[in-house]
Amino acid sequence: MKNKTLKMLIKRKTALAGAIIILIVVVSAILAPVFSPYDPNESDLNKRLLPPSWDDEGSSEHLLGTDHLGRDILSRIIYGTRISLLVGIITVLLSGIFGTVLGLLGGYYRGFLDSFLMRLTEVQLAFPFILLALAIMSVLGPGLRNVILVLSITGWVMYSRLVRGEVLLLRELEYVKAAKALGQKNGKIIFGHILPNVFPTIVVVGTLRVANMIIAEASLTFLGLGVESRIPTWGSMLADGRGYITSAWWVTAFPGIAIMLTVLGINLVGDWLRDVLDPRLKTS
Amino acid sequence: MSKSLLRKLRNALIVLFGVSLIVFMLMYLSGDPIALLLPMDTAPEVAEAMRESLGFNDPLYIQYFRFLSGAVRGDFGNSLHHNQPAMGLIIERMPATIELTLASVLIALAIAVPLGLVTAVFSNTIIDYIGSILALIGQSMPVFWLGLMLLYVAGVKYRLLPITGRGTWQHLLLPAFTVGAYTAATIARMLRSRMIEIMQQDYIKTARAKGVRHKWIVLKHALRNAVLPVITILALQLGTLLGGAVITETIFAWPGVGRFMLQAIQNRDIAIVQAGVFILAVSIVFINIFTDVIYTVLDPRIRYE
Repeated sequence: MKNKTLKMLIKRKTALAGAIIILIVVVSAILAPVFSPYDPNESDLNKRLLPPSWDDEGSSEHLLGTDHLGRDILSRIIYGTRISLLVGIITVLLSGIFGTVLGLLGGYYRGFLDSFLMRLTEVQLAFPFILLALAIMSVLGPGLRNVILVLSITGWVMYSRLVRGEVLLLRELEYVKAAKALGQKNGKIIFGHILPNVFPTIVVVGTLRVANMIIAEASLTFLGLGVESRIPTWGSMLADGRGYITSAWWVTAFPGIAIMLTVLGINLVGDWLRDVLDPRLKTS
Repeated sequence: MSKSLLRKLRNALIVLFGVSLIVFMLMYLSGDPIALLLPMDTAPEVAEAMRESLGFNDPLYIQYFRFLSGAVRGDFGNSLHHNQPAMGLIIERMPATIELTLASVLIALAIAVPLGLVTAVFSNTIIDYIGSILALIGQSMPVFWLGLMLLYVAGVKYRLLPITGRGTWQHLLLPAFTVGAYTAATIARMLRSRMIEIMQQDYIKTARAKGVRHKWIVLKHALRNAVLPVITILALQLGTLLGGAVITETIFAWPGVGRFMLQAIQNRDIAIVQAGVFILAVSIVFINIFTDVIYTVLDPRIRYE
């Protein structure tokens, strides 16, 4: 089975490209100290705003140039992968687990619980996602822990609604009715029989949501309400570069390209996973 | 029409109640709302006097009903920074945000419909591959980065368009494109897959068998049916568009609600934040109801009965 999936991945070139991008990002995050040519926070004011190495004024020592404090952009991008992946994966796990459990319970038990949860999701969907996150961050204050908390709180709705929809269909199927007739407990039916059938949908949505969360973290940090500025992140690099956009485009361009490629990689793999695991989601 | 619409309106009321509850609770997330209203070095007795005078010592449900009765009348209190009613300040800036959002919807449709159509008609050709990759890239770009890059290339390097402020259509072009790009990509991808699906339907085959011209089949028979879900996607994307507007307004110094709210967030001007979040959320709720109604008018298969 695994070999078959691998063969399918290799066959679909776009998904393979996405998988390679993700692999590069993951390896960069894990081996950041090995790959980065410099300490990401090491500044050299004599080398401020050096253009990329291929520019006439660039230096071969700094492939992608330096920022306003003379810090190496490539090294900061490599270290930045850590925060992006960390936030993306943890928030998806937290919001995914929370949303899935609520969706399972609402869809299975129906009644008041279901109505309440659905209204709750509608309430949350009435807020522009980033605005709600910003408003909460403004009160809680910036910081990595708060970013993860806020993105998890604001991100569970998607899972909850999707899982609930699936459960409504599954609970009417013969095997669920048979399990009930055999006297199996609700918990066993929900987590033993229904959850495994909803899981592919959750994996697909979760994968695509990692990309959204990476962009959301970068957006919050860019606006000064995300991760602390002492930690190198793609969002903070973009925020730093904004002030120099007219004179040093590279400070802004490269971290943005890093975000775009990572998100593109995840979207390509997510699309492929969707087609393989849950083709019904294709048009949604 | 009546029953289903009434149910939707009832649900909308429940949602609005929830919205008001969340907006109210924003103030309490930090623990002590007075901490948001006064400078850090305020003497404890001054803080306590203010807590008492503003009613923060009352039970929470009384505070909530006071907040709700104010919210219904559009009274969220005065802005700390501007010393004026918060709602008035938000309303003043709404036209700019509405203008930007509408322009971004128009730009998104102007890009998405031809792109979705062409990639579907020429599916699995080089045109489709290029178009699909463009759409995927559009979905993968952070809004604020696209904004900054457009600002640099079109505004600074080639000086094609103004980069800040509001006034002429030229001022609108860069921010509207920035906000609309993601939605354009999403709609183009959705339209492509819908069109490919529809082109395999029996009624399309029948039209072909009857000798209807290909162009006519695509534009009249297929596109008409594929375009309906675009309205739903647009309504669903409204939150994204408004969220995008918050960031984009900041980049292009667009004098709308988003930029103003971000300044309020940075100044911890909670009345402005509450008024802004509330009015945007309420707008989204009503636009969703409006979309539902429009959808039933446009699609004869769905009728409220």
